[in-house]
Amino acid sequence: MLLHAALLGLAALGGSLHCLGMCGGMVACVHALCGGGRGRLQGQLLYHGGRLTSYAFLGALAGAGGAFLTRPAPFLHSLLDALAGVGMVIAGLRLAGMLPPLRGLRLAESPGPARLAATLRRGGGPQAAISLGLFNGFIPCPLIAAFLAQAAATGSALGGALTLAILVLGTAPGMLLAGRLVLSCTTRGKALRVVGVALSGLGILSLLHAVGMLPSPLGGHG
Amino acid sequence: MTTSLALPSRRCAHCRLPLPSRPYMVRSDTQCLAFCCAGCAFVYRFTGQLGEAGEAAFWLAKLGLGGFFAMNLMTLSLLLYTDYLAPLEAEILPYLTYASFALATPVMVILGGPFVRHAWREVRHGTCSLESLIALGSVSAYLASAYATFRGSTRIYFDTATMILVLVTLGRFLEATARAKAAAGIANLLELAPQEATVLAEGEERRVPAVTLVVGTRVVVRPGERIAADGVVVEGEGLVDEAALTGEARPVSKRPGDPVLGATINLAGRFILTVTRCGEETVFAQMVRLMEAAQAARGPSRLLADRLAAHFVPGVVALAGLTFLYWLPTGLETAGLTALAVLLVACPCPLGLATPLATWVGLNRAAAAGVLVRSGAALERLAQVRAFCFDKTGTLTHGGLTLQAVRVDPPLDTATFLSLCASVETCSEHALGASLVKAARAKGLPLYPVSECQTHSGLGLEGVVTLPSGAPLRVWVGNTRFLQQQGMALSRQLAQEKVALEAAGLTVVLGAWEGKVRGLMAFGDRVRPEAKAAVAALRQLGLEVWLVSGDQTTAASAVAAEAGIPRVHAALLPADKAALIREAQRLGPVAMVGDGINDAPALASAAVGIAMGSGTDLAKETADVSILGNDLRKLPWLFTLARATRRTIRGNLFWAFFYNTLGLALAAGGVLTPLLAALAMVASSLFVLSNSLRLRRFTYAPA
Repeated sequence: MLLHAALLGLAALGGSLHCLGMCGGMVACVHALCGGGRGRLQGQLLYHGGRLTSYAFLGALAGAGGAFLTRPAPFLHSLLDALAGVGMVIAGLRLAGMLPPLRGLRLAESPGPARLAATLRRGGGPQAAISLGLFNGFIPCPLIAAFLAQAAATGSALGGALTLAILVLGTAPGMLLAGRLVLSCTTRGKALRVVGVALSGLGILSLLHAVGMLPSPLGGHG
Repeated sequence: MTTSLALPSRRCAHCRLPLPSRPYMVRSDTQCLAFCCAGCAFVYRFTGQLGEAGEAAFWLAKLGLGGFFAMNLMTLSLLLYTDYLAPLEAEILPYLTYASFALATPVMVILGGPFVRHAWREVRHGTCSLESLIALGSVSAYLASAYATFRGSTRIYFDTATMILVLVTLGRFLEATARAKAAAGIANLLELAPQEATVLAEGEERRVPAVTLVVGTRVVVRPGERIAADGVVVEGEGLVDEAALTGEARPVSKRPGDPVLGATINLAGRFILTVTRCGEETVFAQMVRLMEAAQAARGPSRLLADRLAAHFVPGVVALAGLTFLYWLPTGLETAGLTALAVLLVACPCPLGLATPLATWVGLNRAAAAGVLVRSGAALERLAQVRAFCFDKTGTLTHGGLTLQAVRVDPPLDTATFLSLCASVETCSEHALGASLVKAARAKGLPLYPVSECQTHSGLGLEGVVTLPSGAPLRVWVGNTRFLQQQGMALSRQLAQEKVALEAAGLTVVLGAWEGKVRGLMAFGDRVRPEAKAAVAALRQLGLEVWLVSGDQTTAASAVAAEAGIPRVHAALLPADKAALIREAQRLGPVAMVGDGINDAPALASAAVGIAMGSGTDLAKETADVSILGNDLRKLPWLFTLARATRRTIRGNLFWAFFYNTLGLALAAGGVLTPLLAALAMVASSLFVLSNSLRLRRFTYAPA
């Protein structure tokens, strides 16, 4: 499924722009925690290691959840696929700015992460970055929600973990370069639109699969 | 955390508990710190941070490292669990179990180590608590799984072993953050005894650190200043607010020969005192010692979860023993593994989270309402108190002097009288003057321009008021002695009023012009408007309410009657207050609400000490609870919240144990699988989480 993989990659790469908007603060915290030079690289790796861990875990959880549901009742698989598809289309349209954003998900304004980072800062050192990465996984985020839906639809813990791992690996380069990447607001807006469209595309593929027109790309059974 | 002058290193620099005879010392370039135990010293070394904030950072760092391994392990476990449904390739299974073993081991070392050490100490002392149960559960799960791994079996419970530890660490972290938040709110206000004093030596005034004062030093006390040491007035006069130390609301006038106390405030006048007691000898320092003794005597409280674990652990160990004996005929290996299964499923995963999570939500809910609670233990104790004891001055009352009554000789009207007196007082710095001007402004009375203002220290003041007509009028405002000196007399009517008002505990000030006293104003402490409602709400909740005051019986009884408090204990010294609280607690825990330095020993003696926002710093430092703002209605609110939190904790514990008791039956029967253990874990964790979060929506409507 070349188209599928390409869309997933595009959504992930571009998704880092979205991540920067929300999690950019986190990356800045990692910088602040680790100082310069080797410590910074170490901190960044630990942070992304933590992020990969928690997302893969959530993906596996979603995948296992999907497995529990679909093994005894295979017809649910199509339903999950359809749900994932609808979720992704909605999330994609939101990202692209064609739908209003969800209320109550304005995490940038919530004091939680900042307070956590402040506590970590007192703890000091690069090792604290790993906690930040782990915590990152539990920030509610429409992009992650869409991918988790996809993970559940794979119907296997492995498939779910891999789906989310691809997302994290895709977003990592963008976030690693966060400090050097200077994007104007309009550029970011345009890029987000591309991401949104890619995500919606993924959703549509998922929907097509749900109605039996396409095989599943990641699921163990398709 | 600020270390205060009055509490020099007799307490642990980290947790503030009294130090043992041989404390752990940590030396750095700038300071030498004493800690109560190796744990506190370790947290300090790790974070370089004192107090609760450092502790929170410490637990978070542990949580990060442990969580990293545990979460990867969970991902692997999920792969294994789906294997029950769709068999994985047989050749990769051993790798998954070895990888799980490799991931679980660091978690056991990083997170499990302290629990195992703690449990070992308890075993040697023949006690057990939450820590023992957690150590027992996670270690037996780890051992059973390690054994299975090297025997090539997939019956591994590494996820259970590590998740117990991760959740309990999360609980410790939540606890520490909630405490850090409260401590930060309180520590900022900490400023106890005055740090400096003005010394008079060879006719010159010099500012010196208060610690350098010795007996016999002559100290100058200016208006508005906090007195640095106990002494005797030798020159000048002053009006001293001693409420914080004695509980008496009325400012005391001080003349040469009168004793004054350190840490009290000079409201008006300037005087010189000779130091009679300083440093550790002062009445203030004695109060601090009383408070510390009371805190040390109270000792740590046993939490609900600990009491539960103390009963549960021996039972589980016995059941494991019986299981072992029952299965022994089928072989040592089966018997051992089945017994281990009983032990590993006995500890509910969210056990370490059941109390802290509910407490954390409760404490945050309180903080959002402006109530800082120092610890979850304090909240738990508050839910069990049977009585609330209130201090009078500053707690049930405003603490300051406000205008209570005005009397004039006809045909003069009170508005004109107040207007004229307040106009003169605009040029005064006297506390009563400020109160009068405030009262006049509140009544919307006009204030006229004043000239030729002249203050007579300790007596009153005079000034020329320019009336609206442009005519000047010289007005005198002050005490009886002042107006007698000026040769102005009271009418018989006013003299009678004055006697009556003074008998009611009020401070009377006279106003005069054109050779005659025209009227008088009475100032007094006023009961807070919401006091009655708050007391009624507490009584409705089935609590006893007492008034415990250092002031005289008449004044205390009047306030008690107004607030609707049936039981009054008055004219108590600080030590008496503390003794009364201790005596009362024989029948059950009591909460003490106070604000003054004189309340500190009682606050420390009570099961829960509650300091009002306007309270002195020593009171806040001592108290378990600080109420920002002074709304007394927050007391019934807080009590209800404490009860709701306690109910939530109980619910959490019950259901956490419930799911695992089902697991116990399966384990003893030898049919426990890792998946079932994990399901019990998930079910109880989800319940604890959702049940605790319900507290966020806590509301209280007084009946």
